[in-house]
Amino acid sequence: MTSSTEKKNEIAGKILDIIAKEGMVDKEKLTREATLEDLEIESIDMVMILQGLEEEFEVYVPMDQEIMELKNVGDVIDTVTRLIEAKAEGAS
Amino acid sequence: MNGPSVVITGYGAICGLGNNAGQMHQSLRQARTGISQLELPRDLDRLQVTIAAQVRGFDAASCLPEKRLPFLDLFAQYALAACLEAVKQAGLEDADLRSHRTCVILGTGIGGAVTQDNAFYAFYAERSKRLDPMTIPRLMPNAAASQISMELGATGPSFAVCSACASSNHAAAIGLGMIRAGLADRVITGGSEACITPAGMRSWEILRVLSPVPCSPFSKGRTGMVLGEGAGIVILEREELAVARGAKVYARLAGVGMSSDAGDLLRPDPAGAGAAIKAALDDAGLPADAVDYINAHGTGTVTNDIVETEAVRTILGKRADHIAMSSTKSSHGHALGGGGGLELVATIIAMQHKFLPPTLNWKGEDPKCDIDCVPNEARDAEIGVALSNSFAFGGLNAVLCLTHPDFS
Repeated sequence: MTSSTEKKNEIAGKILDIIAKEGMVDKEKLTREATLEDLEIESIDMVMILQGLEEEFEVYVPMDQEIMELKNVGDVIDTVTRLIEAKAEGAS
Repeated sequence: MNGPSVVITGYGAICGLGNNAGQMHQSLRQARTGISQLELPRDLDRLQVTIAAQVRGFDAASCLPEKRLPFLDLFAQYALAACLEAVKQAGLEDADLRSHRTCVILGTGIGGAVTQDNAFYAFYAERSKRLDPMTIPRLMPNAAASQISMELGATGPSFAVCSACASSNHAAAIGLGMIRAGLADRVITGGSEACITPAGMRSWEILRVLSPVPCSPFSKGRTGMVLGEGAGIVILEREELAVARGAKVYARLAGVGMSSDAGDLLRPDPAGAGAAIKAALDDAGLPADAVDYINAHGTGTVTNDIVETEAVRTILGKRADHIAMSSTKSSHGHALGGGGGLELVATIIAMQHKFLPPTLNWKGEDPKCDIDCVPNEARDAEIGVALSNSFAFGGLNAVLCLTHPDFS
């Protein structure tokens, strides 16, 4: 359980790094509640973020309905973590 | 409408649904998919998306003149094959074709993508300096139009129209305008594309608009588009001449509408799309209530399908509750600059054979796409008036309005 939580935290940390770098956002502003709109993350920034996530986690994330409806940083972390875990399960 | 009436007297197609218009007709009627596992000469293992609607079992040597083959990229092979089918169906004689009054105006978004990819791979990756000397004549975007004009002896203006996914509709619009203006008697138009290369696929992946599973336009839970390829070619003729030579008329190209969003590069604008739809109806002299069927742009991306539905609802008003609007891209994929040509042929087939082509892979309603998209199965229907929408990156919109030969 602890190791699962640690793993989740590690993934969340990497996702935040990628959002900060590819979305060109100050990492200190990346709270779970911070909205993408407030952070001025636009669709082209999301394309860059999704590319960074693919390079780090080897998971392809299309601009589907779920991604288009993401509102805040917490949503991004939860959705991408779920996709990464689904891929890991699929591979094992 | 201004100038003489313009009719369609022949059509041809090649795409993932079949290697001629007859096969495409059967596939659309029977709701078959043209999407399958991607086949590429190299680097397939470096892609995340591994499906596309590719042409299968096409043997250029068996259906195209041997002397032309060295000069033909795949996109030009498709165009010439579809053109020869259309010319044969139209029953045009050499004397009709070998004329300065016959033009070839074709859309393509990219041109000879396979030729370019092979040349770049040989030069950069394999460090070869020995490239195919025909690389440039094959890859130029006007190659298909030029090769067709040479094959047929058509000495009227021949050129390519390049406006991404709206290329074919823009080409047909110019063709219509030329005949109306008295600058041509017949125009071979439509478009072609063969853009499924390894780096091309990756470039689309990077934009995140490709779906990893077969696309499901207008459906809840849709995940993007699937690339396709092929050509859809039609013969436009001044009606008076077509009647005089006793040609069978399949449809009338009654109007065109074009607009530019002049806004976002990638995100479509319902106002721009709606303006083109309205302009097409105005050009045809028809009210919104006349429309029976729309062949949608319908890419299957979340944004396109919402924007397209909104545009159609705004312009058609209550009529939108009584029409069908399907996306044949769900079966033949998104053939970019050739897409409008394929969808024009699909619309003519639907009109001629009295059915509505389906939108495949539909899994349930998206409340933001609340329109009858003919889910999953074709339906019998008589179509008097149809629109075919094409919207492109760059904010470019081009809509064709077709009417049945008996419609008045």
